[in-house]
Amino acid sequence: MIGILIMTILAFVLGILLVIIADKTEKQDYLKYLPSYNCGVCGFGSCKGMSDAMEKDIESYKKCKLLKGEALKKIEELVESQK
Amino acid sequence: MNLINLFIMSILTENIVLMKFLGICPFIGTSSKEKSALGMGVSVTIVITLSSIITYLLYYYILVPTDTTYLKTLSFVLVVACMVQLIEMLIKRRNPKLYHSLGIYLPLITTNCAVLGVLLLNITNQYSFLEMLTFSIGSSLGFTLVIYIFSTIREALERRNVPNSFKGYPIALITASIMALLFSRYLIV
Repeated sequence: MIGILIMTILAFVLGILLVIIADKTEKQDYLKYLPSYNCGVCGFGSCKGMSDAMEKDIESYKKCKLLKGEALKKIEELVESQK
Repeated sequence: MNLINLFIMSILTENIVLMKFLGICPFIGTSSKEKSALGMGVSVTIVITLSSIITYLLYYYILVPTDTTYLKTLSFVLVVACMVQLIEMLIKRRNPKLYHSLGIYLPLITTNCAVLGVLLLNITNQYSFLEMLTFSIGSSLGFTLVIYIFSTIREALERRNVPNSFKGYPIALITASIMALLFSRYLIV
């Protein structure tokens, strides 16, 4: 009986720990910084495709031709902070 | 002095891969490239160190007082699985390239017998806390060292003329066996 109790509590505590850490290391949402024209000039088809590609290789943002001004600055800051 | 002895012993003469034959799967699987081998070694080091501290405290402060030591294997696996998830999230977030090059072997650290082996050896050898920490860090560093050396040898072997029937895993296994001989204390003395 006490064994079941210990395992339950242990699993519960570890689960909560994982949830907390998952919340803290949440994925960056690159999509909101992209222009959302879905022009496809970058070669990924849409801005969603571009944000997926940026998760694998963050340097992909350079392929976007329509990134200008503030949005470009914000992404460059993000890239700097990740290095 | 005893701690230094234990540390060197766990890295070299009692190496977890070459002398105890634990953790062979990632040793062969992720050692084809230098970078992924190093990534694997570092993530195994972090998993072993973190989970050895947690399981040691868990065993001596929860399982022993409540007389439920028969739960140790089950609860240790649970802790290891949790730690591996943690490492996986961190690597996915911090270094997506490494995450993709490790592929399936990263979540497979859960079933890496080197990890569970070290945790159970900590208990069966009745180490004190400091000895436990030394042994865990030493064993995981030994794992990293061996997998790194092995990956560099394998990269060099790819450029050499190996007989057709030896190409790939056969020559890798033969290399591993020679490394095991070199690491054993019988040849050193």
